[in-house]
Amino acid sequence: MATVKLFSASRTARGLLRQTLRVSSVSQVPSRNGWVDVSRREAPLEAEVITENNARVALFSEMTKGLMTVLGQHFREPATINYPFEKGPLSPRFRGEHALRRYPSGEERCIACKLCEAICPAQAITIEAEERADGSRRTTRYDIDMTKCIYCGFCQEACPVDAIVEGPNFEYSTETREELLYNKEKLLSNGDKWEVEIAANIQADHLYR
Amino acid sequence: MGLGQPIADAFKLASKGWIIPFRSNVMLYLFGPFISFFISFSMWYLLPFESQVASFKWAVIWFLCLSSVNVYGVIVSGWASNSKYSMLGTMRGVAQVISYEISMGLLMLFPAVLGMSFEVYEIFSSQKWVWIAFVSYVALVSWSITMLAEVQRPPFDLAEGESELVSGYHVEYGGMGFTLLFLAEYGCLLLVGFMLVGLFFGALEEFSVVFFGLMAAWCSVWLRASVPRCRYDQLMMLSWKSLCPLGLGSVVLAMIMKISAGLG
Amino acid sequence: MSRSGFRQDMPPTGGYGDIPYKKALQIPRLKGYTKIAIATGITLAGMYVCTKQIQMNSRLRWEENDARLATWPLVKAEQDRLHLLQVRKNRDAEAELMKNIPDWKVGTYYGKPIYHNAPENHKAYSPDEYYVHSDPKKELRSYYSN
Repeated sequence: MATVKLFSASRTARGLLRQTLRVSSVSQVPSRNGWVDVSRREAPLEAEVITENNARVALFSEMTKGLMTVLGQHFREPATINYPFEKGPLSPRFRGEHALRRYPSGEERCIACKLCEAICPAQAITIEAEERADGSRRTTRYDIDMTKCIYCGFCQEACPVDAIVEGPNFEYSTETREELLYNKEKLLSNGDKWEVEIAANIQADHLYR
Repeated sequence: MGLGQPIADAFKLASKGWIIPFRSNVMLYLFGPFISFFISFSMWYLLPFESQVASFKWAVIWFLCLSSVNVYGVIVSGWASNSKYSMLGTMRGVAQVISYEISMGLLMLFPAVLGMSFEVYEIFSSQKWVWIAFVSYVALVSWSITMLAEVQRPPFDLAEGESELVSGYHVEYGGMGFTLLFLAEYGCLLLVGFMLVGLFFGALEEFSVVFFGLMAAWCSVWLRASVPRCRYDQLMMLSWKSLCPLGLGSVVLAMIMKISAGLG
Repeated sequence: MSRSGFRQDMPPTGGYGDIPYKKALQIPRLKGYTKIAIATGITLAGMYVCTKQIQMNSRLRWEENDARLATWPLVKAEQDRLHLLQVRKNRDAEAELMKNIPDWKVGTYYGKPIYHNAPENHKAYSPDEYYVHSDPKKELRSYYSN
């Protein structure tokens, strides 16, 4: 705040100065009173200063200082982590691999409302739905093309029953492209696998949803 | 523990394919890494160990000769691979090595005169009372800088220059050719570390020689971590305007000391 | 919040600490004069001791050279004796080998004497001929003894 005040004060002062100049002088010379000399200063010709500089040059002081800084960093704890064995922290809002969740009874949550399909900006989701024997509406096909997905998280925001979610898993690289075209079975198995984490993340974030 | 990693790396490199560039001078292209490797490892003959098999009276001259001839590895491998990047790296490397050879020769005379021998082991074992490093730290630092430039390590690795030339004179090499050039470079680096110990920190036990030699080689890695690559004109100015006069001064100092030792 | 035992990753209470951009270890700064005095002192002391070291080394070398000169005649005589012993052995071997040939003259090469001749063409035989009857271990010992 103080800097802003100083800045505005100097600006007003300069403006005042410019006004007075404009009144006094006919040709409008822009005033340049805000400059700073950044060029190298000439060292004063005193024995002590000269000796200081000479000692710095002849004894490689700056080189030594730089080397010692590097050596100090060398013995400090590294900032990196040993990735496959250690992992960095993840936010509960992290949007990773998709999963279809189930109710605790084992019934799948998805009611085939197709809101996710509608909102998906990359059009990665394909849903086909039918009425089941017991009269409930369920999907017969739920495909996500993971190569199209942009991980925006709109699907999980659109879902009224928290069925499709993006879990915390980000390590699902495959060797072929076809393996990334997820079907319903794969998504449900993901949901079964990651249910504990997904539930914890939703619980942690429930105040903001 | 990553100790197995370099060995596995070496096997991987050796088992890799070797693509010979189109319209390159094939014989010379294949010969260049061999020259580099052979010469850099024939300099290992000079290591200052008491148990060395052969002692050689003119070892310092041998070192000078071989490090001059070592340029031909760079020239041949860079020119024969028919690439602009290689050629530019070669030009830079050759100019650099030849410029620094002068100060290398002059600075090498300093311990040679004070140790009264051209044999590295004689110079090494003559420093029983005081290390030559203590006589003139300027000569020590100049020698270290010269040797860094001579083996083209950072901050003087303009021949390599990843940012502008892809990898200097060994862009076009893969597989065993690259392995040989790489081994030649690191062999030279280690040798230079041992030479530093032999010429300036003499009269040590064998274990200490190994330890300090490896420390000197480690220091070059340390320098690579801390110092940015210098500009080409700075490199040349350092050689001709700083190190050559310092080398001449060192020779004069050594002569004065030798004469005063004879008088006193 | 604590139902599932989840804890939100948050900054520590009171916020993060300052970024340590300042130097942690304040090394006492020496003045230029002191630095130069120390460097000059070490260099001058080193030069003085090195001068003494050169004197010691040259004295040692003189001593070694004197010792070598003093023992040289003895070593040389011993070498010559070993050489002559070997030559005699060669001659005896030749005589043993060629005893069945009537007109053979031992120690000649196309009628020219090998062993009894003037010093200038003394060694008329090749090193191979000289060493062929020798004992390698003994030869090595005689080589390294001088």
